[in-house]
Amino acid sequence: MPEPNRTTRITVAVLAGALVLTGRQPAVIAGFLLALIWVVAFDRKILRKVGRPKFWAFSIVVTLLAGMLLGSEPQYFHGIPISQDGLFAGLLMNLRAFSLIVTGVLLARSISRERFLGVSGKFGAAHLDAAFREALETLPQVNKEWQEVRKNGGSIIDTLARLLANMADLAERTPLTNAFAVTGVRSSGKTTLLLELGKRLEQAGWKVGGIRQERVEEEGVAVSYRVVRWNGDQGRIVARGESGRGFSFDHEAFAEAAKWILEDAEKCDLLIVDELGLLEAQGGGHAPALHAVMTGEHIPRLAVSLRKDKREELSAQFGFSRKRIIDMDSRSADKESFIQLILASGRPEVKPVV
Amino acid sequence: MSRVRVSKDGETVRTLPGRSWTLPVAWRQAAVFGAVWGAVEITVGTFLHVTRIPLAGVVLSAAGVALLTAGSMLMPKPFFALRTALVCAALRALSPEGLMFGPMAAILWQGLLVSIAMLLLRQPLVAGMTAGFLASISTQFQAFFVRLISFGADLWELYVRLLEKAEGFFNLEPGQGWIAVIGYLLIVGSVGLAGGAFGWRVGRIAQKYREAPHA
Repeated sequence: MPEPNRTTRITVAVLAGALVLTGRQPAVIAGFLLALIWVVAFDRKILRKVGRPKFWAFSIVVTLLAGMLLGSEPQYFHGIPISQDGLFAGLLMNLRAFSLIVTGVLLARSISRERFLGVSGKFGAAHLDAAFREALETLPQVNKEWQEVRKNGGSIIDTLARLLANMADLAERTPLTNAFAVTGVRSSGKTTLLLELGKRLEQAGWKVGGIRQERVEEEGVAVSYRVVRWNGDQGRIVARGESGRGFSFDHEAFAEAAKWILEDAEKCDLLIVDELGLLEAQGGGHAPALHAVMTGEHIPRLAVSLRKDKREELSAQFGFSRKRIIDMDSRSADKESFIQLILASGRPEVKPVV
Repeated sequence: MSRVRVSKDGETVRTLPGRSWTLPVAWRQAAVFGAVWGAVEITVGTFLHVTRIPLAGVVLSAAGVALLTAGSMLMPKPFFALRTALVCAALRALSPEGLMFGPMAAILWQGLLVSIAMLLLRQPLVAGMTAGFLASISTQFQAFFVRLISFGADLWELYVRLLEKAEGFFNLEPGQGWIAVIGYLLIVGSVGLAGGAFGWRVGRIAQKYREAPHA
């Protein structure tokens, strides 16, 4: 027999549930019969759920106790008072429970994990889906860490503490290596340093690519932001000011910038991305392109500029080590050391020829 | 916010942030600790289920609160526990039986309790113990209400009559049966109380390890 669709399943579940919840004897019996017919005809797996010994033991106890304690005019069996009314009430309770369990299982099966995540997203947990996937990837790591910390011996409290400390480190661990960042307030020289860095590395034989951001001003006020490709003169305006209402973003321009980033990442030694800010902190802007770069075969060295007010958030998300960030507002900012640090990291390994 | 889709060599590269580094920090923390909690649910939960140890739900809730208490000390962000619970509940949904409302509701409830306790009480020890006490007791209420809904209002009458009979059997004064019920709930609550204190202790040692990892 073909399996009925989701709508039919939900309709049957709701109908059976509603009937038994009325509490009236004919309705309870009708609801039970509907649930029973469904189970026998289409979904015998549900019987496993109601076939558990715990459920049956509880049901039998409830029926017997109902016979003994509920109802009137009891008859005595071996000195134990048993009422027919009570037994019938107990039986109805069981029919109701059976029907509601079937209803619950049918409804639960009709709600997929995706639907659960979708509903959660609507209630402000928009990142739950991504967090769920991250948790799935982390599960083997939990096992590995557990095996590792157990080797140290010690009490159970000590072992658990080590595990949680390691997991806390993992939650904050920087997945990017050889990534360098420049931060500072506006006009502190972030882009200038990146330009200098690119020039110096090119002189040292490195292939440099990526994008830089230009601020377009009118009477000292930013009216738009333009992204320009490192090599060549291609450029697109990615954000435009909207007379006192902030900026509107051009997602097509971001897509094109992402294309440049991906193309350059495949053939360059140093990828420059200027700049990461609020949009990237929320997973948008240039963030998806960087994601694609970091999951690619050839991962270049990365040099980015970070908006200062988003520095902590972006550092944690993208994995910029404090040691590899230069703060242009700091008196001790040593640009030469920063450039030398990147040079010392060496050019990434040559892409293998397949 | 709409997400950029990147076309690379004619192929569409998936840009939905599914990796940790595109996740906000708070959610990445929740993902990692949600995985730990999920592992506890799978291993300890399965063990308790197979061995049919009584009050398995109470033990699991105490373990959950312990983990959330320790985690909240290491990751002191508002509603860390609730986010972690959401992730763990989503993992629980991977069960072959599909979505199981009971365990998922219990997990979310524990997360909510710990989050609120941490926000209101501030002190991790007090917050953990309070949340643990309430979470353990609520497992009994949850089981009771699920049965009440399943079997109907007659079950309540049955319980009351049974309590009255028990009072008579043990020669107790009328109403003293309720004291026994409250006593039972206090014992159950003390398991959660211990769980919260245990979590605090683990959290404190873990904090020390993080401060001096080679100690």
